[in-house]
Amino acid sequence: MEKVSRLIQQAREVLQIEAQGVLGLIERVGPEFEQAVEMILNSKGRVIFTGIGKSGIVGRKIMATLNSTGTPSLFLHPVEAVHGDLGVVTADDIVIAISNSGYTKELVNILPILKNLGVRLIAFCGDPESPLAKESHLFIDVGVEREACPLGLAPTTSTTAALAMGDALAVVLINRKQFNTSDFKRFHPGGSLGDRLSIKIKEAMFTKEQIPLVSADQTVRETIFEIDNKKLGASLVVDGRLILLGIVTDGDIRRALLKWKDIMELKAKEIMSKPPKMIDEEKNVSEAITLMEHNAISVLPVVDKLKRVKGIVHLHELLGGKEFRLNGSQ
Amino acid sequence: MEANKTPKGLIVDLITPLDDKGDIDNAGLVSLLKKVLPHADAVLLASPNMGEGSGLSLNLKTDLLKNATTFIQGRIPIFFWISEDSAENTEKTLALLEDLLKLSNYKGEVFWLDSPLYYHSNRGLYDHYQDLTLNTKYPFVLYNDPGLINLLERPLKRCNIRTSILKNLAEIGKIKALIFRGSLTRVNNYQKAVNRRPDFRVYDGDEDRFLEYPSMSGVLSIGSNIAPRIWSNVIRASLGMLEKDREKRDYLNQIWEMGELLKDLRQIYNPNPVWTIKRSLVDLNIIGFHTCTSVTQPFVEEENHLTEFISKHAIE
Repeated sequence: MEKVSRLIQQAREVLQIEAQGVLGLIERVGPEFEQAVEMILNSKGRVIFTGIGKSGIVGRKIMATLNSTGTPSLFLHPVEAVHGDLGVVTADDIVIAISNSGYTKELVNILPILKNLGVRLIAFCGDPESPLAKESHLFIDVGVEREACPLGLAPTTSTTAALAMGDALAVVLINRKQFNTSDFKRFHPGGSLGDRLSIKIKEAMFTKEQIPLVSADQTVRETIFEIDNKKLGASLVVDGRLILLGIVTDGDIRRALLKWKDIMELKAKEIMSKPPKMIDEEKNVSEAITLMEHNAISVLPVVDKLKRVKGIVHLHELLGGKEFRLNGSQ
Repeated sequence: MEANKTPKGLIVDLITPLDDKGDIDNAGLVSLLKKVLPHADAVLLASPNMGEGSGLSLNLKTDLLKNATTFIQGRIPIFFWISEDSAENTEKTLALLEDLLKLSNYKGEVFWLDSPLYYHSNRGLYDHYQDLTLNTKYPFVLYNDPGLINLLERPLKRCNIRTSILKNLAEIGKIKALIFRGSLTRVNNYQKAVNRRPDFRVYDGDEDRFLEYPSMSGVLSIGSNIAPRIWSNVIRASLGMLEKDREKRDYLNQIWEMGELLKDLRQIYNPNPVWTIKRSLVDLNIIGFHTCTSVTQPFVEEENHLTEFISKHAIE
């Protein structure tokens, strides 16, 4: 038989107890769980989690899981709730209150207020006889038979069980909502965006024929054609050695129209912005984005050490183009 | 109190106070119950361990139940160990105790505690309990105690209820709970077997197990005969029933120290708990005699360190 130290044995026992705690929930998932799912699916509001201590931390994690899988969620701290944060709650919302004992004072205190606001309450709780379970519209049993921490000094199995039940809820909602890969990408720009921000500009910029270019003496008419063809909302103005002299943007054209009656035959150099903002091709994408954000511009010429044009970048393309928008909308 | 609802928390495995003639020491019983009742969630009488149930005659058992119910008056549930050396004798004891409660018109909660393997094999246990539960209006709690069964001189006998058998027994509504002693793996398997019954409780029958990994149903406690308040506090903390006290300064430290104290206490009485605890209860003027039945081994040590420890730490 394998000989193990007391330390390893104890660690295995804890895992055994926690695993059993989660397994014990299987038989208890029943009609009330189904009702909770339907309640959330039919809700026009958000799912608001609340709880104190480690239950609160579990609530925050489930909230994050629901948010990233398409169910708008919030966390409401019970103490902050009675000091003004209740204002975030609307009658359309569903509140999921987490407490293993179901007697947590701060949580029980806000239940009548939440009910008065017209929200529907779901209890994630281990005691069906507790005030929390009795005050709630639905009771989801997350009770466990044994904690893995001596003297119950810290909740262990019970928080694992509540977390697992939250995951069960999230996954069921994913399937019911037919949440798909593109939805997931929409809510998770972080990974691909993070990768994108760290690469060098020369790897992300438009080059060669993609660069909108005119010479200083070309007309505004020709410049507008170039802008229209390359679809970046601007054209770079260069000399014969491709040294950057300036930039003509849609905004420059609007301002020129206000200044002159007929601008079509003017030279590009007469309406261009100079000196233009520019960036070295060896810099990172993140620096280009910062520069554009600070100067409220959406295109940025890329140059080498001699200020010769090597490319151009557009803010939206650097952020992933049509894959996502920062505000989460498509 | 809701009928037949199993209690949660501290079950005091009460010693059976006997006088110098070996009869029930009623004054001692009342005095001890007065000490433990404010802290207990249930009390176990005539248990095979602390209650010396296997050494009590039927007359003593009936006297014990009669005197205890007269004092308790339904304030907390009573567990009473009914197992005898055969199924027939167990049925007879059950019938007699049932009549006693009926005659006294007792209104409180009573649970019959039975160690089935003490007199019956695993085979046929389901049928046995179907019959047994028909003959009583009170619910049952099973007691799985391999230590007790191992003391019996019956070779090849299984000392644990088989998990598959327990799964079947849990289908009998009148069987409400199990007091368990044994390995962690086995109790996990038992828990799986009764998962379909969310109302079914599994109590720890082992104080050490409870202090390490507390069962959320509660524990059968020996030490609560002498330290009921501390045991109650530790159990209530373990079961998350003292949440409001968590805000108090030094709460965790206090609970930790109480747990350590109970472990130290246990070290002292563990070699011979019945004898040691009875001696201390006499020293503390809770009971009048330290008379034990023949099932309790005499203790060789002259000094009783338990009383000294109790006095030193002002344990109530």
